[in-house]
Amino acid sequence: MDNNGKKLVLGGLVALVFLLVVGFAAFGSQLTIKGTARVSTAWDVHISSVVANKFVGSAQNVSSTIEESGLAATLETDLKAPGDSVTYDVTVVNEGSINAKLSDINFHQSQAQEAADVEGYKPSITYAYTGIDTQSEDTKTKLKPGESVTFQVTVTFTKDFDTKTFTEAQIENQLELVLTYVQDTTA
Amino acid sequence: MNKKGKKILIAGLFIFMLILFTAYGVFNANLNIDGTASISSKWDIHIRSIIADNIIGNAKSLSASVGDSGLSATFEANLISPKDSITYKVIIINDGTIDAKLSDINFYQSQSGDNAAIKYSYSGVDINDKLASGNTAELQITVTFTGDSAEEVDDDFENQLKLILSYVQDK
Repeated sequence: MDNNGKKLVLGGLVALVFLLVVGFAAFGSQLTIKGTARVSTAWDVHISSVVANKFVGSAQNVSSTIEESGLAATLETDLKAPGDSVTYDVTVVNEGSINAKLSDINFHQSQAQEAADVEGYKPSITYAYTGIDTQSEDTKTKLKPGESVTFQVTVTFTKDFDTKTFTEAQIENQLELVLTYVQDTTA
Repeated sequence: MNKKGKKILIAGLFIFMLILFTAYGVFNANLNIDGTASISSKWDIHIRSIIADNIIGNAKSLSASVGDSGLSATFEANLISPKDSITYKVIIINDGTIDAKLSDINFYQSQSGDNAAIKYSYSGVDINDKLASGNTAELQITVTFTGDSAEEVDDDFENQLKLILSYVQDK
């Protein structure tokens, strides 16, 4: 066989081998599945509004403000006569993406401390709150994302208080109400 | 033999030979059988569909799609609270004429280890599983937010999955 002939045979064999390889490779596939998962959490429980809603007697709301962070609110009330009272509606909202629950309520009045320390001392002003607790299954305790609760804080000039016997400590009563919300992992 | 007789004999022999040739020709026929054979086998293993099948808690599936070639699929999930999870159902089909089998599974996640806040798992397929021509296989991929408290995890914490299934001919 001359050179040309040999070349032809060789070329043919190479082509045949190539076809066999391609044919073999065609019978196999790789399927690739890619995924991305992201944790996107946001914790945001805050006070959204404070409104003086109910007035008894000649009581006046001096101011009711919420701090920029939404984590604190300040109320200032002017009570003129025994029996006067103002009730504030306070709204707390869960604008985050995590279930929350009210785990603790810390309620402290400065005059109550005086009353505890001094025998016979009677507070002239009292505070009270309703509409929230730490034991309920509804929004009084638990706030899912998007939910809110409105509770009441009432400040009262003690009705039968004898104003002639005012002490300096009894002219003013300061309230500190601290609500502690935590993640509700039971929901 | 005289000339006439010779002529008759030659003619007769000639005719006889002609008859013989003709007969032989009749008894000798070339039978031609023509045939055509072609190979029409087809190899076609691909992903037919991917859907978010089971969503638990506040999890959200942002997307799940199959690539144009059917050889890839992608999904994206958002997990918000601990124990949130999504299970994706993936259907693989052997649309060819050749039986196949799963020869290899390559499973990789970018965040691994016991403390990873997001974990992936899969089920439904195993190495050496056969996928006959015309049949389908179902694969489940689950992604879970495992953290005890969301506050312990950085916002936008991410874990990426790459799962490669290698199918070959089942001989």
